[in-house]
Parts: sequence; structure tokens; C-alpha cells
Amino acid sequence: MNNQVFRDYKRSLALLPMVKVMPWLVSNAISVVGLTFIHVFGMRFFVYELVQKRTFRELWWLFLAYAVVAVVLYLAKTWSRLKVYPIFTNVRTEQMAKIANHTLTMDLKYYEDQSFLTQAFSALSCLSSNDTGLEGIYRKSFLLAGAGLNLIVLLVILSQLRWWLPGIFLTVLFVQYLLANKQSAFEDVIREELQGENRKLNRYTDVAANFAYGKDIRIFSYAKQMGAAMADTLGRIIKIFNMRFRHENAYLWLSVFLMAVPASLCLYYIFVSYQQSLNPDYVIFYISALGLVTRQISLITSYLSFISRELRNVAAHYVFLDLNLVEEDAGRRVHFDSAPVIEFKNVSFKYPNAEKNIFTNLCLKIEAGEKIALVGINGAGKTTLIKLLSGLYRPDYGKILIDGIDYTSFSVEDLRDLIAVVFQEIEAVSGTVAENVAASLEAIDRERVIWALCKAGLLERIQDAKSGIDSIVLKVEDSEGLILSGGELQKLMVARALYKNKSKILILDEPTASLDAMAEEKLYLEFSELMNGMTSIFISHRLASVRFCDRIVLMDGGEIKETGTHAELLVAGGLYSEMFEAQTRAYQEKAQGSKEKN
Amino acid sequence: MSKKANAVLKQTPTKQSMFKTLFKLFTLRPQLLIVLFLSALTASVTGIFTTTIPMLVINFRDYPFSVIEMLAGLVLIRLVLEGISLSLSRLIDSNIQIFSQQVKIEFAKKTMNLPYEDLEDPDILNIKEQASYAVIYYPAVVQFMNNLSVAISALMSLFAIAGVLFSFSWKLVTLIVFISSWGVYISSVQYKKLNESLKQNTQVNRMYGYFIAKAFNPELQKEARLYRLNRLIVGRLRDINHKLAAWMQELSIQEGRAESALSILSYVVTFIALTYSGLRFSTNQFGPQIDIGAFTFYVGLSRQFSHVLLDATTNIVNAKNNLNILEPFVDYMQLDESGKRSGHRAVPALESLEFKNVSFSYPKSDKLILNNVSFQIKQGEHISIVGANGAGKTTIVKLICRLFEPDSGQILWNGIPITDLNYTEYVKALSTVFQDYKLMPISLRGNLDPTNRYSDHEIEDALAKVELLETIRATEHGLDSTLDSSLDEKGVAFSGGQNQKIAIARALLKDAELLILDEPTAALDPLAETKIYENFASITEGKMAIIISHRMSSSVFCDKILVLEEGRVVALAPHTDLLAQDTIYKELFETQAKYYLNK
Repeated sequence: MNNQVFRDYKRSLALLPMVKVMPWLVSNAISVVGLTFIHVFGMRFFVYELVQKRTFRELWWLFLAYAVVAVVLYLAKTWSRLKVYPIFTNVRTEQMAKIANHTLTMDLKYYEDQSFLTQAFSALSCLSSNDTGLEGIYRKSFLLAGAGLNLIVLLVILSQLRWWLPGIFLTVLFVQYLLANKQSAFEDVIREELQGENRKLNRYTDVAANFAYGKDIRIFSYAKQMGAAMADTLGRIIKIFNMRFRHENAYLWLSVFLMAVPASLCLYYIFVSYQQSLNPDYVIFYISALGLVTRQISLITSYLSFISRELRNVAAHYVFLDLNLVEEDAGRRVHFDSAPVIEFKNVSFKYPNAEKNIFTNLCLKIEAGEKIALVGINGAGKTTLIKLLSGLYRPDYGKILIDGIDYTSFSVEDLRDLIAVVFQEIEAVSGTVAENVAASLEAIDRERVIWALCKAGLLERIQDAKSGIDSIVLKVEDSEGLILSGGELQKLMVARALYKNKSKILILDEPTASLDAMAEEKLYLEFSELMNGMTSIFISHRLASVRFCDRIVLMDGGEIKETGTHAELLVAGGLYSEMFEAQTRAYQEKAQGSKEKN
Repeated sequence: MSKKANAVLKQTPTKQSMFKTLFKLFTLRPQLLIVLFLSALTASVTGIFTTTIPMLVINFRDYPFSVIEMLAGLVLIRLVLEGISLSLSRLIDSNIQIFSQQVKIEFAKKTMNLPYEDLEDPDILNIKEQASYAVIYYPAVVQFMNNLSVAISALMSLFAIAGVLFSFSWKLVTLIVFISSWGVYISSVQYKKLNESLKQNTQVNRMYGYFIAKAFNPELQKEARLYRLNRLIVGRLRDINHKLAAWMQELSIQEGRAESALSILSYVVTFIALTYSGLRFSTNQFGPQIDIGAFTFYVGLSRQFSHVLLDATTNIVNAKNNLNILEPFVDYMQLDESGKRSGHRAVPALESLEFKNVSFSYPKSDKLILNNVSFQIKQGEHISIVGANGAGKTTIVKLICRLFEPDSGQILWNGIPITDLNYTEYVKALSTVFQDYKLMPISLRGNLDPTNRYSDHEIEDALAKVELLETIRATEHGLDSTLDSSLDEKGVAFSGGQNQKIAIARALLKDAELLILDEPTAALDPLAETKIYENFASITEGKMAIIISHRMSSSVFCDKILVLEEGRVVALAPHTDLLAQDTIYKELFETQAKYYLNK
């Protein structure tokens, strides 16, 4: 094992509560050795006594004793294993939780990197089963201790035949291990490819078996294509397996026949001694020992190569965990009593793996309590602006000032509390309404939850539900869970934003995409009310909605092209005016334009 | 419960039909059965062989081999057996993985072939989930195969061993069988308990999977940081971890008890074997005396016999148990694929589409979504369906697509009831962009042209109509890009608006008689949206089209508007006519329009 692998092994072991594990490790090792002892010595003893013509009457109780002791040792071995394995599982599941937490809290910039996501998923793969990955390593290490001790005892026994025999066996063990390692190295090469193909196949089968894809699959006859895609990928997977097997097989047989050397030598010396002394008990004794030694060596080799192979997988998740711990909290506590002034001063920014800047020297000032409508076509940079303002990213150059102070100096917690954002992609998390609004499992201020729901316009709907704010949302954990419509879900998210109660900046992103005309209007009026007392930014495609804002900021290609009130911009006759005209045309009574063009 | 689900569940599949379905699956990967069988056989042979070694050595003079020959023979055979066993176990490993994927593929293919109405049936969904459990979480099919192969090979060895032991002492054999049968009983009770336990735990496992998926969901990440959702998600994960830990404790104890009982029985057998063989060695009271070599042989063989007997019978019992677990899976795989796809007539070129007194409510629901709806559309007309949320707009579309059948009334295509038309041909005549449209994780070309009917030129034409051609040309792999960025090196991530344009292009490309669009421009910005509607006539080339949209502006570009209110048709007329009337349409329209038209 090279250095890094060894370090990862130590790190994995360090995660275990050794105080709890050691007793079982020891008891397992002792019972394994004990079983070897009584088996090997027991049979020898019986054969010897029988040959010496002891009567059965004198022996049967020895048989009994043998059986009883064997049972006790076997039980000890079994219970050690059963007691210690759950401990291993606990460590694994806790690592899973750590990974999940890390994913949710590390810098957002990592998510812009597609290969990062694949890395994250492969970090998970070493934690997803009992007998592979991290837990597999624990189990095999546990068994390794027993097998190792067993081997030592047996080699001592065999050394009675010829003192140098253990040396040969150990050499064989070592060479077998090297061969297994070479095989693993080869596997590393194909592993990525295999994982990639498996991921593809899983994606295809998930999609094809997903009822939600059913309509399009039938209308557009995708069944054949998907079937072909699945068959092709499977074909490639089979090829990889076949290749791996051919490779493995060669090493495997080589390994096995290495054992021929010490095994034949042992057997030869047993024969020779028997020919001279004719002690059958002697034969039994050494043959059992020989059988057990070959078995132990085979087991130990497989455990060692398993561990070093799985450590490679486990390494990936350590790398992931070590990636960027959340940035040091610069920590200045701030408090705002009223809506602040926001200023972007010469801000430049690009995403980590991108070539081009999204913004270059962007300047924008929003007065205290102003309601800004941020409009622009897709890709103009609106969402990026929001991500910067809310602190999810920081500018590469320039500053963002809130009430004149550089926001990077704020403590992260205060910045989060200051800004309330409702994004476009809204999803509740399975749990109670209260938990979703408070975004927490404990220390929920129920009064405040109710107040937030009220202000968001959702209180009545919730109170009508079976358990009020303790109702479970979604049908994931409760088949009678509360299902909220698109609009209601949005209000839940608004309530969550309001719950923080220290927010003085409110940002709403495309909130009315799925609503009908009247529901949409109602929502605009409600938002308008909500935005009082805060500096707010409202993003929307529907230009009608921006009427109730104080000022409109139009972005295009990462630049602020126009800003002013609705009236001013119409007069100016620029891009905003063009967009507005386009949308207005649609409502004008030039109906049947389509028919005329025919 | 739905009629179909009821019918399926009422008739528990006969053992015969279950075997038939499972047998079909096994033939997907016969190699697996073979290697499983061979592996079990090798293990038995090795066990027996090992038992004979001491005896061979002790009595070596009785055999016509020289020392060297015997030595070489023993070592060689032993090692070859070992090599075969290891080889086979590697083969089993990979074959299991391959077979598991094959089962998943068959499961997916089955789903694609089911009639659509099954997909919206919550009972069928339930059967599917139980079936998934049997295949994904707990590989019951593989277990079953394993049980069968081990049982068969164990039975074979059993007869061989029994033969030898019988010649030694039939009383011994009987006694061992008797004791081992207790072992079978214990082991099958334990197995049943384990499965019960696993079943009860599916809910917890499902929640676990849900929260892990949430934690890694890319769309949740922004909110997750701003609202510290990690507290919620990871908090629940740790809760579940505790539950799982408690459950595992219980399981361990159960397992421990069963294994303890089994090991006691096993050593009872050992004791009996030792005692009896010892007697036979010491005296001839119980039968012809045996020598010491034979003593070791028969002791070993008895233990082997007990072990193999247990193997054979527990695997038979477990096979039965696994068969039970597989029931929902077999149910699902046996679901009837023909559905309501009646109809044999060819589909004529569309001249008129008519709803005649159609009423409909969704399966398992009493609410009447469509109530005596009647209207007619003529060739080349563009119709917009308008109404508040829940008025029945999407339902009309689903009925036209024959995803469901009306409860009463008829839908007529050129006067012919659509149920009389050949289903496959009918579906070919439609083209849709649903509100929850989906794109496939395959190439862009494959998405746009799934049946491989169009040239690249035609495909590019369609992309040009939605103003996406330049964007596609600018990507590295163009039409060969995979529409799932994490899948392979050709993966591309398009924005929401771009994906929607792809869906529209797909619908335009398909040479259909009838175009159906449900909220097709929700993700597009005003300029892009307006472009599509303004050019609607030219891009649809005179086909009949039905559009559903909340943006009232779209209805202005249509010939007529179908106004729905609570499942009833309120009006079907052009925009100008409707504005003159006092319908909900006017209200909806003016609510939106006033922002634009009041200067």
C-alpha cells in the first residue's frame, strides 16, 4: 500500500469508537484461534486415544466436552461479529450525513462544475452498502485480525514439521498479495469506464420506468430508441466484465498454483514421517493444520486486496470532505433597522470554470426602500446578479455596498438574515409546514410561523388542514400529506422568507409563471404590499407585472442597458420599449392575424 | 380500487405462471444459473474431497500409487478445485451485476409498453413500487436463482454422500436427518422474520433515499445555503440513522439466536458422529469394525452430510419465501399491455375533430372534470383553450391523445369515433408539447427524431423555426449533443427556455395532423414568446392546432377560443366576438391586458 492509501486507512480506523470495537475484536480473534486449536488438537487426541485402545466408555465424555467447548467458542465468534457489525454501520451512516451536510453548505461555486457532481456521487458510492466501501473495509479488517492470529498459530504448529516451512508460506502470502494488487491497479483503469456506463444505464432505466415520462414516450415513440440505448450500454458493460475476467483469471490461477510449493512440501514431510513412525494421529494433526493454513492465506490475501481496493473508493470521499470548508466567517455583526441602500460598485464576475465574465464593471444603485423590477431576456445575468447580492457568490472585482459598507465584511449569518430570496424553482422538503417555514427541526417559534403564513396569505389554507401548521406536506412520508398547488407552494416559500423577520431586502424571482391571469394579479397586489418597508428586487418576464415597481432596470448580456420608470423607458424607445410593444401587440385587437397570413 | 388493479391482484398468480415469467427472466442470462450451480457443486465436491485426504494418507499402502503420485495427485486436485471455486465466484459476481441490470431493463421496457391509463392509476403505481422493491432494494430474483441452484447441486451431492453413509450405517443417517430437520425449521423461521422486517423497513429506506436525493439536488442548492436547509435535511437523515440503528440491533439479536441454535445442532451431529464412529472403531457390536482412517473419514463425512442437507432444505424453503416476495414483481410483469387500444381503421387526413357530449372524471375520483362538453374544430384552425386552473383544459388534451377514454360521449375524427382508429397510427398523427414535457437523456437528434425519419436538413429547419439553430450550431457536438450534461462527454446543459424550444421543435418536426401545445412558452422571455406566436401560422404550416396558455395574448393569434368554466363549454368563438360578450374570458383577458393597454 502506498502512503496515501495507508493514511486513508488510518483515517478510516480513527472514525471507529475503538473502545467499543476492541472487546469484540479480541473475543473474535480468541474464539477463532480457540476453534482452530480444539479442532486440530481435538481430532489428534481422539485418534491417538482410540488407537491406544482406550475403551469407548472412557472416551465418550471427551467427545462431549469437545462438542460443548466448540459450541461455546462458535457462539462467542458469532456474537462478536453480530455485536460489532452494527457499530460499523453507524459509522458509515454518520459519514453519509456528513457528506450530505458538506454538500449543502460548501461554496456554491463548486456546483457550477459538472465534474464536481460526478465526484460527489462517487463519494457516495463507498458509503452505500454494508459489505463494500467503508463498512466493507471495517468488516474485512475485523475478520483480518482473527485470520491473522489464526495464521500465526497454525504456522507455529507447522514449524514443528520443518522450521523453515512458515517462511515459505509467508512468502507465498506476500507474492499473492502483490499479484492481487497488480490486478487492482488494472481494475482502477476500467473502473471509471464501468461506473460511467452503469450510470448511463441507470439513467436510461430510471427514465424509461418513470411514469412521469410516460406521455412523451408514447406520443413520440421513444420506446425503441430507449430500448436500443439500454441494450447498447449493457453490451458495453458485458464487454468490460469479460475483459476484466480474462485478466483476473490469469492472476488468479497463478496465485493458486504458487501455493502448490509449500503445500506439497508439507504433505511430503508428513508422508515421510508417517512412513517412519506410523502415527495416524500425527497425520490427522498436520493435514488439518495444512488445510487450515492454505485457507487462512487465501482469506487473508482476499481481505488485504479487498481493503486496498476499496480504500481507493473511500479516498474519493475524503477528498470531497476536505474540499473547501465553508469560508472563514469575516464576522462583523450588523443590524439594520430600516431598508438599506444597495450599491454595486464596478463589480466584475465570472463563474469559476467560465471563460467570459458575466459582469464587467457593473454599477447599480438602489435607493433605500426602492422597488426595482429587473427585466431582461434569458441569460442576461439577472439570476447571477441575485446570486451575488445574496452572498452565494462574491464579486471577483469591485464591491457590493449595503448602506455604504462592503458586504463581504458582514457575518454570514447576518447577511443571510438581511436578505430574503424566493427563487423560481420551489420545492418543499418533506416534513411539517412549521418545519418548512422555519427551515429547522427545532427551536421553532410557532407564533412567528403563524405570522409569516398570514403575511404570505397562506394561513387560512393551512389552518383548514388536518393538523394546521403541524400538517405534513407532500405525500412522501404520509400518504395523506398536504398537497399544495403551485401558487400555494410559492406562498409557503414567501412565508419562509418572511419568517426570518430581520430581512430588509426582498428578492422575488419569476413568481407567477404558472398562474392564471386573476391569480397572477392577486399575487402582484400581495407582493406589492409585502415589499413595503424593504428594498426589493422583482424579476419577471411579464412586463405588466413591473408596473407597481418604482423603477425598472433592464439587463442584456450582463450590462445594464436601460433604467428608469416605465413611462420614461417607453419614451426612450430602446430595448425595453421594444419588448413592451411586442407583448402589447399580442393583446391588441389585431386578432386573426394568423389567418390572414395564410 | 381500479378495476384493472383489482383483476390483477385478485388472481394470485399460479405457481405455474410465476415460474413461466421467472423462467423467461432466467433465460436472459443463463450463464448465471450455470455458474451458481457449478459453484455450489464445486463447494460440495471440495468438501467431500477434503474429508477423504486424511484417510488416503493413513491408508496409503492400500492404494496402488507411489508416494509421489499420491502427493502430486492430492495437491493438484485440491488446488484445481480451489482455482475453479475462485474463478467461479468472480464470474458469479459479474454475472449478478449484469443480470440485475437486465432485470431492470425488462422492468423499464414493461413500463414503456403499458397502456397509458395505467400510469395514472394509483393502484398500478402501488404495484409498481412493491415490484421495484423486489428488484432494486432487495435483489429477490437473484436470490431466488441462487436458492434454486444451491438446492439442486446440494441435492445431488446429498445423494452421493447419503449413499456412502448408508453403507456405513442407516441408523446414523436417519438420526442426522432428524436433527438437521430442526435446523431447517429454525432457519426458515428466521428467514421469514428477516423478510417481514425488511418489508416493514421499506418506508424508512424510502425516506432515507428521499433525503439523500434532496441533499444532492442541484436545484435546491441556492436555497439550501440561504435558508440553511442542511439543518432540516441532515437533521432528518440523522433521525433516520438512529431508527435504522435500532432496527439493526433487533435484527442482529434475531440472527444471533438463529445462528446459535443452528450451531448447537451442528455440534450435536458432530458429537453423534464422533461417538458412533468411535464405537465402530472400538468394537464390532454395532457393525463391522473400521480402521482409524475410516474413522476420520466417516466423522468428516457425517458433518458434511448434515451441512449439505441443511443447505438443500433451507434453500428450498428460502426459494419459496423469495417467490412470495417476487409476487408483486411478477404481477407487474404480467400486466396486460393491450389496454383499451381497440380500433383497426386507418387514420384519414384530419378534416374535423369533434367532442360530442363528452363527460369524464379521473379514475378513483368522483369529481366530474368535463361535463357534457361539445365542440367542433375544422382543418387548419388554431384553437386556444382558456379557463381558470382546474377548469378541464389539460383533460381535454389527454382525452384527445387517447391517454384516457371519456366516461360518456364520443370524440370524433372526421366523424369516426377515435376508439375505432388503430391506436399506433393514431398516436403517429398527434404531436404535443405538454406542460410537464420531458426530454430524453439521449442525443438531441434522437430526441427530435426518435423514429429516424428525417434528414439533418429537416431537423435543422425545425430548430430554425424556434430560433435555436444558431445556438445548436455553436455547441461542440451540435445535434449529437446528449441532453443530459452529466452523462457523457457530449453532454450539454441547456437552459429552461432552450429546452422548451427543443420540445416545440420536436412537436413541429413530427409530421402530425394535429398539434397540441399546453403552456408551450412558459419559460421563454417576451421577445422569444412573441416571435413564436406571431409566426405561429407559418411554423405550423396550416395544421390544426390546439393551444392552452395562461398568457391571454396567445389567444389573440388563434382563430377561435374555447372557453371552459368548471368543466363546461361556455363559448367557442373568435377573440373579438368574445370580448363583446360577458364571459369569464373577458374577465381573464382584461385582467392581464390592462397593464399593457392603459397608457
